[in-house]
Amino acid sequence: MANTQALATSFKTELLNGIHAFGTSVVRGGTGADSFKAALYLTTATLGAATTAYSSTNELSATGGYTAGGNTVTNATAPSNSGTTAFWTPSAQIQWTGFTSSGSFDAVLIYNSTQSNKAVGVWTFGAQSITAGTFNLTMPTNDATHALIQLA
Amino acid sequence: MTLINVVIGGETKYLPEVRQVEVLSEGQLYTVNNYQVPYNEGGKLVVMKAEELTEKLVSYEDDNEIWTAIEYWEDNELRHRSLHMQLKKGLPIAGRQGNIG
Repeated sequence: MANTQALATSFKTELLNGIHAFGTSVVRGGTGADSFKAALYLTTATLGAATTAYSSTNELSATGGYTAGGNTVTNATAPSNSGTTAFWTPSAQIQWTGFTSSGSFDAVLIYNSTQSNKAVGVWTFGAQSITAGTFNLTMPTNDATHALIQLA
Repeated sequence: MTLINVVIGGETKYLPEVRQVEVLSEGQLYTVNNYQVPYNEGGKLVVMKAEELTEKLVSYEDDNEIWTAIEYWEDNELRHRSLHMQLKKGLPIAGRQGNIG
């Protein structure tokens, strides 16, 4: 029997659940899951790894059925793990109806509206525009290789 | 394809998804599959007119996404565009542990 150096898979899942705090400035509002939102951004935006929080700069204008700050992300499925990967995916598609986009957009920012709108991540796709219609953003399969967030 | 141009709560909307619409007459309520939709979304649903538009389906797929758009054109004017976008994979974060000593 030999020991194996590894980060515990349970630890990865617990990171997604906010169990571990190595820093000293963590303030939790409660023990429930946080609320997350999804905002759409114009192709002129420059979101990426350096994005730390939601900003209205280069977000779609709050016209044509779009509300500033975007839509609520449905989070009915807790983080899970498989193999040595922990993962999480919103549990439903994100939908905008009666929607006319103020311009061409190609990115969605998911952010934590409970924790001062801190950024979770930016996901990009081919540039799109919507005219008097519906935009459905369907999530990938919630597994270790496709989930929206994977801690491998 | 007949696209129904309606007013819901004072706002003009287009309903291309509704494929079986019985237009009673201009300015009256309409029914969808025998289900009357008179007072939804806080407004009276009134058929203003029916227009003949050209329907166009556009789809795309690569390693990251798959999407399908449905468009309705009146001559060279885009009157409606809806899109179903599916992200195929998310973002991986590599958790690596350092060595001791």
